[in-house]
Amino acid sequence: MYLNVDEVDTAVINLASAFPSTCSLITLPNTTFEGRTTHALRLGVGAAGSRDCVMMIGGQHAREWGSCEILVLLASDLLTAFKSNMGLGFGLKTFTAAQIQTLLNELHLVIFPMVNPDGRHFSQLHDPIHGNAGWRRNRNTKDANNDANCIGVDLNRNYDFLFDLAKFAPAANITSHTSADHCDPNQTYQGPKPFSEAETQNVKWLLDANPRTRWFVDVHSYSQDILYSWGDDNDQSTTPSMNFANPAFDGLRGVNGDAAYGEFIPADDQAVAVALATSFTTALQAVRGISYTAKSSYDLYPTCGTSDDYAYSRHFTDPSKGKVYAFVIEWGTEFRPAWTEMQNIIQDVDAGLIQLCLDAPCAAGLAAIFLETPALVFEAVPAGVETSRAALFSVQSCGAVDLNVVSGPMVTSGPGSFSLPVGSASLLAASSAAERDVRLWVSFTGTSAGDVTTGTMTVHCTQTNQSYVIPITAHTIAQPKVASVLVLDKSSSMDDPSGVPNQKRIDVLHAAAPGFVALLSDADGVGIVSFDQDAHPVMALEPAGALGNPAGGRKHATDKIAAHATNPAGSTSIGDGVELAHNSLPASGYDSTAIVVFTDGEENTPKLIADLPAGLINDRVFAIGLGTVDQVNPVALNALVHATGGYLLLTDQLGPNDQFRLAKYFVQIVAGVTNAEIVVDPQGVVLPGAEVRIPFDLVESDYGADAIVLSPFPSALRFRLETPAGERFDHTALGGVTGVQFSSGAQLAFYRLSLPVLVKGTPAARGRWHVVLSTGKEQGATFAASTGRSIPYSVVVHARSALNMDVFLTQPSYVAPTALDLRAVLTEIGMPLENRAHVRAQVKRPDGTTTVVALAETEPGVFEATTQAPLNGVYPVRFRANGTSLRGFPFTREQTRTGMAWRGGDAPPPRTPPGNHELCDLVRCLIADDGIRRWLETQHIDPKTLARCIEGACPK
Amino acid sequence: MPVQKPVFRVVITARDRATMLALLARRRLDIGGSPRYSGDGAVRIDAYVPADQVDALEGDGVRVEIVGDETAVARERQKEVGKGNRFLTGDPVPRGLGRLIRSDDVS
Repeated sequence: MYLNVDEVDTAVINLASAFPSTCSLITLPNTTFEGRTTHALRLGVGAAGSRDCVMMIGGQHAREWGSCEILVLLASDLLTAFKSNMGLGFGLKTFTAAQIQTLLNELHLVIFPMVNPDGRHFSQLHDPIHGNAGWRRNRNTKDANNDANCIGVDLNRNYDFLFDLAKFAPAANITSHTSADHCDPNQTYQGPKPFSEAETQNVKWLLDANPRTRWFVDVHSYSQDILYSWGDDNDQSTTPSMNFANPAFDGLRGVNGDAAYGEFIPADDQAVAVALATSFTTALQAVRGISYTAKSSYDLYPTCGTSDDYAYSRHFTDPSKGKVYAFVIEWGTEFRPAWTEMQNIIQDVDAGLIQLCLDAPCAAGLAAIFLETPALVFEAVPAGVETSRAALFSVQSCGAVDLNVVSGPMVTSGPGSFSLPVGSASLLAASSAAERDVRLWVSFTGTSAGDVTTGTMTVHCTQTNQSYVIPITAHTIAQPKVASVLVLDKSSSMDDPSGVPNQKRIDVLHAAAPGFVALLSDADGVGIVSFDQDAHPVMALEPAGALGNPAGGRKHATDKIAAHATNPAGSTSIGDGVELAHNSLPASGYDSTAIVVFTDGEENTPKLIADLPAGLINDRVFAIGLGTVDQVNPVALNALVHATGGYLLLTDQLGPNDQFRLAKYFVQIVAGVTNAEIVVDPQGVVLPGAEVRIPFDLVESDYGADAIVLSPFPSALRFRLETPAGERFDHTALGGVTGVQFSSGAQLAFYRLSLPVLVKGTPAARGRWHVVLSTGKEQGATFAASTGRSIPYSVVVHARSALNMDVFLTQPSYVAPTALDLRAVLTEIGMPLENRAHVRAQVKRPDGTTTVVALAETEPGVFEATTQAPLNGVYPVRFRANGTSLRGFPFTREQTRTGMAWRGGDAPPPRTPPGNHELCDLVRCLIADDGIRRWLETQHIDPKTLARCIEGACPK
Repeated sequence: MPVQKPVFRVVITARDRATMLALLARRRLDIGGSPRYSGDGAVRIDAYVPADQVDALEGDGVRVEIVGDETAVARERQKEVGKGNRFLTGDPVPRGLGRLIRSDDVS
């Protein structure tokens, strides 16, 4: 006999009690209109959420009694068979014990057999009322106005999928099967709003509570069908924009066979749905020969608000929700068959459901492949730079999938060539047909600015015998050029000792800053502003110009840096300096802009950085702080650099052996500004008469390099380069060598290489190079005698490259104890550098101890680690990556960042309080005048002391 | 209590889709099952119609055939619904209709 509502619920509860190790009871949170609580079951081993899930619901429509029995008895059969390790037979269709074990070991089945107990109860116990052939809806009387015909909502029209009937075309006649009239005799009243009913809220809750649900089945009668998405219109797989979420198609949906609208379903999804529906029908037919039809839900007329369309639609509107293949079973040939026939139908459908569950993880053996990128476009490839783009395939298959390039990639017009840097692509077999992405990479090297290159590639899948023709287009642009402005501190403290013997801070700046200018590319722009309590234009932006050009911007900037002088009465307005620098940068003509701030102290004079209008500074801001973190107090500066994509380096207190630190920071910053890669950054000493060879590796992705030597006594050093083939060349004799330029300054010298370099006709590019430093005995002895030391050096090699490392140092707090979150991202020609590198970070703590932190590869090419910062102070962190390039050549990459912690580090950036600053500004202005300062001295008043008094008195 | 008018299960045959859609737009019918199609373009659906409304469905291109008295069927089926709660008084666990098998034969 059919189960009444009490029996269904008790059966569910008792099954959970009887099979505790494989069955959990789920209580749905919303009671029905008549106060009933409903229950569901989770079948399978393992904790909730540990497996992919098949969800089956039944009994939404009250008169379709047998749906509850189908699911309750299915649960009983599976649990019993699993526990006794036996198979199951339904008519002539059998399942082995191994299959049942596999089913409940590898999947969870969430079974909710009686969604609508109020309706079922009414249907089973009450006479069919006038004009009604059996109750379909729930029993919500809220809008019934005491009319028995107007009670209830059709639950399978109450889901949030195209609920607004106005989204359908008038010709679709949507109301013939989805009504806004609660008295509609067709019993399809959708309710006042989506999920207005407790019963549908329960189904939604169940889906939300089981996020690993990948398949959903709603059991109904009748027709002997299994239906898959969509029900609102004909399926189409060619126009993704034509979909339920696009308001442009409102008023056009639902008309059969028209061109105005079809509901988009990805072809691979449809293939999977058809395959699983066919699994169901095949197994069902094997029981006793009954034939069911697998087809999409849309037929003569559209529907909306249905459970299956809702379930499948969720991941389109909310990608955080997983894709759910959804099906509706319409069993039998009448709503309430005689019980004898219903028992046959139960066996039919249960067999079909078991087969569907068995085949679901591997999509019934299907390999469904969808090309996500119908065309490859290389936009904006700099001339001479190699980069890659991927043809992306989404694959649903348990079997292996091979995607082979059978033709191309070839050029059909324009210059250059396309190639496959890593060959064809394959996926290994898997235990699940969950969607996986496969990327097939194509590379292109930029030719000349303005070139457009087109091509094509044909990819063939061995398993599906499908072929994909992919057009390719590449646009080459000129090498990007950057405009940068140096913002240099000239406040009175710049005359203070630097920590390096016999050098004031201004002296260290004079020695270090020219390195930034020297290493710019010829087309890059450079400008300078200075600041004390105000900002002052020093040099308008102009192109750096060719190396060695005595009239170029590079020379002008170097001269201006040398002339940069301290204002003995000057205070510190970094905000003014940054603002002037921003205003000095051009709005166009350069691909990017940068501001490089140098300061030795805390900002103390308006404008403060935080006074600048929000969003004004849209340039990348880098900063170098000379001093300790307490001296610089870089709260605002740190916030500014992080907000603009730059970073801050702090030198901490310089000591006698730190003559290179500021210079190296400028050299590092110029790499950041120009997007060059730092290959190595070692330092050491050269003994008199000795030779030092410092190795550095260049790889095939490097198209240029700068080999830089910093030294306080460069004339004592002989600086040569040695190619991977062992050929050495010297800047004093570059005959027979092409692609090499040399430049030197007071403390810096470098070779600029355009790769490949030709040495006596032999190309030199990738491989192990060496910087060779040596000193003649006499030169070295002279230096040693005058300084008491060997010749110190620091070597830095920059590479212009398509093998890139980006590093990030972030902190949850800037007050100790805190942590340093370290992250490095490695890519080569645009592809994640996966499983080919190691990254370590050397962290120096304020107490002088050092630790080396290995960063773990948490995603392809992404390396992360966290280390503790227990003390206040500066933490220089040196990131170093070692690996092999695509073609197997060793590479290194380095970058330095500084972590920091100090008391007040988490304070908000200071802002100038509202108030009258004009008097303070006036007095500051007066003290800055030479004449007034001299007069004060005649009055025995020290201008510096007066300046300090004013700063103490004026509001900050 | 109002007099119970029987509800008939009928098969409505329309000469084509357009005729059926026009009928459904005109008459609010309690439909069962999926539409069925003939090779000649005709469309058939099941509907559940009060006895006194059956004749009115017939029209140009539309034929109606009574195939059952759903009211009577419903009453018969209600006799096949369990009384009380068998899982409280008898075997507490429902028994499925599949048969347990030991062999690994799969058909």
